[in-house]
Amino acid sequence: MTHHPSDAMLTAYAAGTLGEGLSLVVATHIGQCAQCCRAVDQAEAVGGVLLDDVTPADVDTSALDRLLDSLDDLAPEPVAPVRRAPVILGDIVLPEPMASWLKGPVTENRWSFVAPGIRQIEVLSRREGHGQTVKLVRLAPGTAIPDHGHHGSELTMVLSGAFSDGAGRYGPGDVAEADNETQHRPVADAGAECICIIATDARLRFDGVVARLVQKLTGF
Amino acid sequence: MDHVLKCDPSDKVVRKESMNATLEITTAWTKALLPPAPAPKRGRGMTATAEARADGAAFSAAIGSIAVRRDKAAFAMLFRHFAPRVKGYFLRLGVAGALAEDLAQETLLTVWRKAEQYDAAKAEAATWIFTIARNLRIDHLRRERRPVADDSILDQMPDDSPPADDQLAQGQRAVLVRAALATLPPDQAEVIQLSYFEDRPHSEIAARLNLPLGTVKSRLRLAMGRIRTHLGESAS
Repeated sequence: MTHHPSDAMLTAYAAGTLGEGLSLVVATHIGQCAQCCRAVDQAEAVGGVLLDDVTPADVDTSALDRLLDSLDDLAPEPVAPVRRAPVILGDIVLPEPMASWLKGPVTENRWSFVAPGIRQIEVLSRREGHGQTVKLVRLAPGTAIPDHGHHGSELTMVLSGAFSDGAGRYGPGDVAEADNETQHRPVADAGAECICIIATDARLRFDGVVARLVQKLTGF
Repeated sequence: MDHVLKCDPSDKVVRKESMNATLEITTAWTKALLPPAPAPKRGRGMTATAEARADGAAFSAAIGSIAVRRDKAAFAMLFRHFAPRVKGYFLRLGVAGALAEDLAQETLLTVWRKAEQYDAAKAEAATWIFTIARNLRIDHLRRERRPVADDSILDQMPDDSPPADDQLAQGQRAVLVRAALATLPPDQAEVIQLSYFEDRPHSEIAARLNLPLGTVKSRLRLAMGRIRTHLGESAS
């Protein structure tokens, strides 16, 4: 793995301000990347220190007595090992937590056509994600996503295969980060299909007329 | 959110006083409840750093005591220290007073219910409680699900690079993070504060500071890098 989410993304994830869609990609990446997992852990420790140093507010003094009385009725919540059925796509087992956001197995009829060589499954709709979207995208070998810019942030994580843009080549586990200062044209490697998850917090900015038409039809 | 709490400067004085009162109570409770074995002894000439570390150990021990014995006195100690801070955290994020109070109480109740899930070797009490408050905020205010990462990779891959901070003594990490935060240049400290206390994307933070997004991102990179350096240097 050579491409990671920025510290800004990891910190926003730890601070809880990143939003569901972008968080889904970050969480899926850090499940596979010890370095970023540790960075988030440290960013949470920063949160702990900031919490400890916050100006304490006055708290209703009778609240503690009421809570103490209610504690006996509260059942403890032990560690529940979550075991979900693995979600398989071709040769790969889709990583968590992304896989559980797919709500079921990846069947052939879930894929929708975007453009020649590009198919997608909507993982999180713009409505569900409060403006953020997540899509599972399949690029046929050598396929390019038309040149585009961004109105907001975009995180792309490769699950299998690889793609390249002006900034480098991205293989499994790698995350490409783009924002409103980035313009790029991702191209899948010629040798193999590329499967990735793409999260955005705003619509993409396509310059080409055809690409804009495709965007209208597919909601990209 | 509809409810935005305006910061009233006159409020500050009251809060300061209540903070001192809370601190006194907390210290008294901590002393009374300090478990004899795990917590370091509190000497008379203890430095603020050592004191903070001892407090951290006492809070961790209190959560452990809830897990093992459903210890209400330990809960009361945690409540007195953390409820005002958690409420302060929600207020800083613009949550209205009554809701901030409710969420602070719910945060502490979650500490009671989930105490068995707490691992003192992985996180300080304050860090764990921060994540609970953060998750409640995402759940209640953003009305979103939080994708939780599987962090078992840290256990599986010990050789990826030395997990420097994992080797730090309990309580030491918070001391180092606090020290690192104190050395940040004002422009980096500002974006750290805004990242944790403003529920908005970095693009909006950049717009508000009248800076390019890239500048905000690079300040965060420098700030987090400095914190990592502090943690790494002390462990080696």
